[in-house]
Amino acid sequence: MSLRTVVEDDLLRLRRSPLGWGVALSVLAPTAGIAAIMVLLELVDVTGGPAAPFDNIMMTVAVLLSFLLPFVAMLGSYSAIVYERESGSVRFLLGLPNSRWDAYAGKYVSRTVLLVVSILAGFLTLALVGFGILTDPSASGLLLFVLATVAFALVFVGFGIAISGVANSLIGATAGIIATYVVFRGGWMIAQFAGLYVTPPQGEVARPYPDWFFFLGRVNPLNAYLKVVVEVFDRGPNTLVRQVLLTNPAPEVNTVATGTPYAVLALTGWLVVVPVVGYLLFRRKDLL
Amino acid sequence: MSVIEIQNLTKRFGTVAALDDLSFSVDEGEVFGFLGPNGAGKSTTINILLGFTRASAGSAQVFGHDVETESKQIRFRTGSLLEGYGVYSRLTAREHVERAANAKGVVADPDAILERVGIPDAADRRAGGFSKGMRQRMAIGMALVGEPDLLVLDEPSTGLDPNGVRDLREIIREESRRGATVFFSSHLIDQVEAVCDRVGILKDGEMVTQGDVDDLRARLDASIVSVSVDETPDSLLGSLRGIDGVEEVSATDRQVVVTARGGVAKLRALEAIERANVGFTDFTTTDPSLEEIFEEATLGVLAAADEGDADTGGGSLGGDGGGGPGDGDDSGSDETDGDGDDEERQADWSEATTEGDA
Repeated sequence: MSLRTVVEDDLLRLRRSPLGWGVALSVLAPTAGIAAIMVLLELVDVTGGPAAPFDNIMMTVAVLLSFLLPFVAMLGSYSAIVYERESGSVRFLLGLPNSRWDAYAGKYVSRTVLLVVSILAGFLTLALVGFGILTDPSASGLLLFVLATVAFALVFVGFGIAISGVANSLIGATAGIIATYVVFRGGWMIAQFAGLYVTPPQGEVARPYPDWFFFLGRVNPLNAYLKVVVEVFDRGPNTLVRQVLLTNPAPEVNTVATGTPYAVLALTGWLVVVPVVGYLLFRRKDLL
Repeated sequence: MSVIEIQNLTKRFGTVAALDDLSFSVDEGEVFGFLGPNGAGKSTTINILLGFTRASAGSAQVFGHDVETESKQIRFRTGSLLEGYGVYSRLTAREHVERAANAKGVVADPDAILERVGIPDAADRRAGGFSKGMRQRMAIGMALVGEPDLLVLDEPSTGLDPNGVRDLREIIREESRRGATVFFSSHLIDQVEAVCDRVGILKDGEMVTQGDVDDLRARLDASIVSVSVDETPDSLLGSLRGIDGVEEVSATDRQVVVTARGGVAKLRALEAIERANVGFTDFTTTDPSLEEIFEEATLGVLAAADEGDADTGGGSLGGDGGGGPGDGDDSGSDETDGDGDDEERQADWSEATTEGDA
């Protein structure tokens, strides 16, 4: 009952806040927005050629989402708890018979609903355009894409809620989500190559990279997400995504880490571990 | 039966002890005033009782439930108004009350509750536009949802105008008559004195004294005797100052004011004035106010006097003997100089004053 109350209350406030609408629009931009652009291109049709392939457009959307969604998901959730502490409304939230689990899980669920509804709305638009205009649309591919994108978004909702539960101030939480994004976006790859540089043969970053490089690299949820999407919309070994974003292994490298199951496992791991660790820290924390 | 039972509670923030081996209990149905200067540890105690903060040592139970492991059960039966709360600016007053009812799993009439706290017309306005007083009234309304068995009020009169303070007192009295236990934390002594059956005074995280207000008065044992006379010769004032137990003597043209500790001292002072044949026509004795008790306790005068009697049981005066001053805002004696506020307070506490004809 209390968990449901927290979810309902939070959703009501999100519906009335600029944050909720801002997050929804930020998710719709690279999904429904791309769909709208495709419709416009079809309407003006200056080339007169065939419509773009479905898989290419989906990969474009996936790359955009891999940059945008982590930050938007954390932006939509990082203030959920810490703002209540800063504003004092936590005295209502937890002065009423809501347990810390109710508060934490309730906030996680409500922010998840915000993201998932936005993603589904965007992909519904994308599907309508994809199946109406684009060539070679794939229903199963789109479904897997949606599932991977929802899981990817929830990983970062988990980060946002965990940071919100652990941080002592809104500024601290803001720094936390920025740091998280920077680490996954750039720091992770720097760490990989730094590792190559300091491990034998020292001072060299030469192919083929060792297995650990891929075990570490594909744990990054951004890489794991793109790996899954590439498998769904496979466009061959020399796509931009494979070459640049995935630190594409040389053909002779064949480890568990470069397989799709490892990427799925990595996403699932982040999905579960981050919110659980966040809750365990939040549960014992002095909130006032 | 104790509703709140605190035993050896200690809370440290780094090297600072906000609460130091605190023990006391609050019985069912009583209105307990929790007094102390700013920074004494009142809010920390409440935060531990409601599960916001973890104790470093010791234990606390409310309704027999452990505050750490069974906090939710406690809050089902508790209505709380905590200092420093913030409203949900995008929710209306009605929605705030409804949320409280939903969380408690009770059916409540938001309109009736908002009427009771004096903001019936604001029910459908968003709380973000409320004045401080309106927010406070709404928060009081939320605390009343579900007829709680325990009301925890931390500085509840903050932001309220005089009418609001009077309404709050009436609500507390009504809740007490209903059978609720009230835990009333404040540094505003007159607020506590107006409604509480028993008080505890906290200083530097320790309970320096607790008991019935009348008991504390008796323990302080100091009162002011004002005697109407025709003249006030210096010889009389000198003889009064020589009486054991008389602490201060002052005079105007037709009145002698004697501050005396103990009934014998007061009696001897009256006898001395009568013997002086100065036209003794009338006298009034005024017992110490709770504010004076608070001042004595937090400035350490009584504590030093009672050092060694540190039992935290009812009616005892703890002996921290530290003698550190409380905040200026929080202490200060009541001179009962006849201004409006004092008259109102005297009206509330008429039993504190005894009058007699010579």
